[in-house]
Amino acid sequence: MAADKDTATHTVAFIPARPGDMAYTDREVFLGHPMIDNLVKIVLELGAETWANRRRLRIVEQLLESGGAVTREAIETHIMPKDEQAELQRERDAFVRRVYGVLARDPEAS
Amino acid sequence: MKIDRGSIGRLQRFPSVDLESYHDFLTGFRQWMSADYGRAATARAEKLLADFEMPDHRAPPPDAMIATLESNPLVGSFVRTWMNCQQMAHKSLHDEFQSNANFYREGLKAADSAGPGLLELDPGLDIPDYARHEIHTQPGGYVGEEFAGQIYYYSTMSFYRGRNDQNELYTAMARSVPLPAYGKVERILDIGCGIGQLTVAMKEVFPEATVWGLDVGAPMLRYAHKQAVEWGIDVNYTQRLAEDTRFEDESFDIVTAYILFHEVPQKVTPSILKEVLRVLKPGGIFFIRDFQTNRKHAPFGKYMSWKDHTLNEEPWSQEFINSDFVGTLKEAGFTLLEGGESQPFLRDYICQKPVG
Ligand SMILES: C[S@@+](CC[C@H](N)C(=O)[O-])C[C@H]1O[C@@H](n2cnc3c(N)ncnc32)[C@H](O)[C@@H]1O
Repeated sequence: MAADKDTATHTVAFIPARPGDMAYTDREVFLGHPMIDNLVKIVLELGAETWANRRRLRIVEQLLESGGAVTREAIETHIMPKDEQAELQRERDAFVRRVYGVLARDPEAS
Repeated sequence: MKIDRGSIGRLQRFPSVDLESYHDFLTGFRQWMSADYGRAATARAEKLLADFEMPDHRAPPPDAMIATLESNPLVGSFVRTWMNCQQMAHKSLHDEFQSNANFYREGLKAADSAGPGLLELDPGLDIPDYARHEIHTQPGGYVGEEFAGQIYYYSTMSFYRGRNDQNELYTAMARSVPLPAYGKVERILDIGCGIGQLTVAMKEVFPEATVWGLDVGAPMLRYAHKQAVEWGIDVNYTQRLAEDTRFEDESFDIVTAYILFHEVPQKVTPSILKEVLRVLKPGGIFFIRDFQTNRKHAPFGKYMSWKDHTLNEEPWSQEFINSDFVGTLKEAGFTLLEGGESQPFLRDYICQKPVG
């Protein structure tokens, strides 16, 4: 089995979950047509992007409020105060409920 | 240029604010899945399956049951988004580490030979096929991806939904491990230690003890070691097999195994148990936390656990949950002390090696 080893990366050959593709590739269809499944993925990705922008903006605001320089380094190394962090988490959870809440609404429930 | 974001206590910060936020979103989404969304999907599934003849709890869910559930849009979208979250988590991390491979490679290399603890890698180890799968769809699995340790660490953050940012889940687990009959703890072994979260917690709870973490996956151990080096924690990591630890007879007071057994085939389990019994001192403790076995699931739970197996690549989990693990432990020669449900879906199996 020695041939399958890569000493530089300390890895060995693995058994792929989706032969010929990455493990995170998913071809299962749950919503009747692959394009509808794709749309759900797009909607989740957009949610994540929106949230990332909102969060980044919050960091920029905090830096501006504290009168510090707003550089990429300052943004990356900024440590959010605990109370702001908790507040942001509540906002995040509300954001998820607001945007995606309809998914949990059962159209067949009486 | 990568900016080093450092750590906050035990929390290794994500490589960038944007990646952190992306995963923060996943944390929020998963949180909601486990609450309102999960409740709605479960309620619908239960209605759909109300008149369904449930097979023996060990049998796979029948195709008709799967089709009934998946043709329902609420249940379908629930499973859809569950998989999406998993895939988003893994892909975003895999992209980050692979596209900055040189940077992260240097970081691992610099720590490999640093102390205080040891890192023993064994390039000659024959890695069995069963350990080469991309378990829970982690790209490259534990042995085939250079940054498997990092990917495991960051992807489980949204899985634990913020409850383990300071390793507190592991600290609490380590504190719950009972003492051996003779009350002394000098040596501890953590099998299937992965990135060493429990290994480190055991050292903190038992600071006088010599602690070893053992795993088959070199990339997991290298990251475990890198973290221990950064924190200055004196634990040793070694790349060996749990079924062949090469430690001396009766050389450990406590052996731990957190979520290892549902990831090994049933045909291997007895050899691991035999090995643990060999290396434990009489009266020593074998602490296991893993899935519950041999129990009837609610229909939707049964379905989700089947999907976890087939879709989320848990090749050995069904064999495990369908087994009688308590029986297997007793058959191997352990005395079962106690243990019940601990974390959601998990329970403790607290075993002792009999004296004499
Ligand atoms: C789900 S992970 C759990 C890791 C760790 N205990 C934790 O707290 O997250 C399972 C680990 O067991 C390792 N493993 C699987 N089979 C093994 C074996 N036979 N011997 C040693 N390690 C093994 C895998 O490489 C992986 O790191």
